Amino acid sequence: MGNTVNADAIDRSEEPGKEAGLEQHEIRTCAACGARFSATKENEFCPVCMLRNVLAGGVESGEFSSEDSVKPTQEDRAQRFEHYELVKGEDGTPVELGHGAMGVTYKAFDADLRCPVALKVISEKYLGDAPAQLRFLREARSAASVRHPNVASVFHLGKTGSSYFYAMEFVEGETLEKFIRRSRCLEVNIALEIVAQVTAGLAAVHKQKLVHRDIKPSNIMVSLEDGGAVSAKIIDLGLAKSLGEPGTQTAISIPGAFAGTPAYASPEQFAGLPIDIRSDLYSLGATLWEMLTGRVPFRGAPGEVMHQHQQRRYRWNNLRMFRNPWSCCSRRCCKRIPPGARRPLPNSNLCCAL
Amino acid sequence: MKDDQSSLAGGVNRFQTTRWSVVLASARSEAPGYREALADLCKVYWYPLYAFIRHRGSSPEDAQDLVQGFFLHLIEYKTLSRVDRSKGKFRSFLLASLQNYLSNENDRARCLKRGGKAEFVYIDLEKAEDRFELEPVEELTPEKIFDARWAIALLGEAMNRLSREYMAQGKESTFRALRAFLDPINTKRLPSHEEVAAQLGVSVGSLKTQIHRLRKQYTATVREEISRTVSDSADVDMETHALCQALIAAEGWVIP
Repeated sequence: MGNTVNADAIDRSEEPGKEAGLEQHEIRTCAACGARFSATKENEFCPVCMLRNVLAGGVESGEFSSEDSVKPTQEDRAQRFEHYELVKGEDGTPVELGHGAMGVTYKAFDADLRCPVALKVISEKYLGDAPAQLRFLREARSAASVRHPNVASVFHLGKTGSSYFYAMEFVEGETLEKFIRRSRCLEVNIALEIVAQVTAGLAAVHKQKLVHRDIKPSNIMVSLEDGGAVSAKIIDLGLAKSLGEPGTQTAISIPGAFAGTPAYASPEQFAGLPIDIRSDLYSLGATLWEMLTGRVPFRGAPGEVMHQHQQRRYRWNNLRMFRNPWSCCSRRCCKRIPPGARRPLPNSNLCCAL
Repeated sequence: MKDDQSSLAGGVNRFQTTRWSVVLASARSEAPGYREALADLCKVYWYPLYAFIRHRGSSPEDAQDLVQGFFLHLIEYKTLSRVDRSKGKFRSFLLASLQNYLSNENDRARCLKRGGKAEFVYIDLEKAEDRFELEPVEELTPEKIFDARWAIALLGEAMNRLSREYMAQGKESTFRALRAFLDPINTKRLPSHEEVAAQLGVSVGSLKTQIHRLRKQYTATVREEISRTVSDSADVDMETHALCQALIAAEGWVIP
């Protein structure tokens, strides 16, 4: 047996599926490539990106660089922003609610009003960048212009030292992304209630002649109340644009000009065509699809996802277990326009349908 | 850098003799040591085989026996020496061989039962359909899952190798501190360079160099691991693409 593969040759301590690992694993969606992967405490990197990085040649690949990422510094963490104090977690670091392209959102405490708030702080790397600061200010103003129960309100814009920040309503609950992950698939009634509330919020966004451009589960906060009622709020208007503003026509042929999240963006958003609120409805349709099936409609590398959103037919068969009107809702949202031009406006047909 | 290079070079011999193409050639000529080389390759990839068998409904004990039996079958029946083509992937070969082996094993087991291959099964179509409707829409085949598990095993082996190499140089703590920087997309907030540099007692500039070096080593290690499983080094990129596709298709169902 010395030369053969015997039981001793197999080291079971490295068995990937061992029970301890199974208990701790969590399915995540990679923010860079959209692939779903299982993460454990020991292995939390996206394996697809790890392999693609090998193809790209490793360190020379842009996506492998950590230096460009938005990382709050020690200074960020220690700061007090006017009368807002960052809430610290058990480990003494500020509680981070989310982070995006422009900055980081922390949980904070309004020392004057004595209530929790969410504080978005511009990333330090943009402090000397005038256009970036302008974008940050515009984001705050856009968000502040919308007042609706289903949109998180922004109520204060400030500057501490050279750092801009804005305060917004602190929404209890969790992101829809986490909710889906936790539940795998949502009950149809809950999914539709969330869609109805987000649609109402989008109608308010639309009323201010804005397009959100980044509707997706991680930008929707949900909370379940006693009795099973659910409430949903749109957060992060970081990519919101005024209708007719030149930036609403961002062609993907311009490197880096595409704004949005490929897994949920509309075909017209990818194509660089003028977009309106119906583009947000498409993203909401993709979000509904994920709520019902537990998966995004199209998966793959960003380029592949873009192509699929523009060219590939939706696998409506995946919704076959749902009653027709419900799948119709997702169908109507995800209809490609143009030339169909039949995707509903949020304040009319879709609300009625729901 | 010199140390790292010599460390990587130290593993070259092992990787020369345990490459799939070399194992195949050794098997044909019955050169001494090919069994150990095959064992070395199989040790990394036994789990995808085990899980494939489990997926087909075998109990853990049966799956374990079948994997061991399969490996013995590979060696005792000199399967490798009968492989005609010198080109091909170790992954494809192993899966096809396993499927053949399992088929033969099933036939053997069924022949032991009265009635041999006869099957009399009542299918309640209505019940079956009700059940089908409740099941998640699943397009994964056992073969696709096998490939994804293979990719995970490969990445895990690359990480383990790198860890062992750092450990051999007495740099275990360096590896532990820098490992987070291998994340290609920064899924979580990384510690600042200043923090890690202070922890390791080096300058920030030196730390950045070490991170750069680690990333290069990891990339080289993964490529090396993939190159072990293909017969031609020109196929490494193709195999990498195939493994990416398998992982995307698996949608996170394969646990590292």
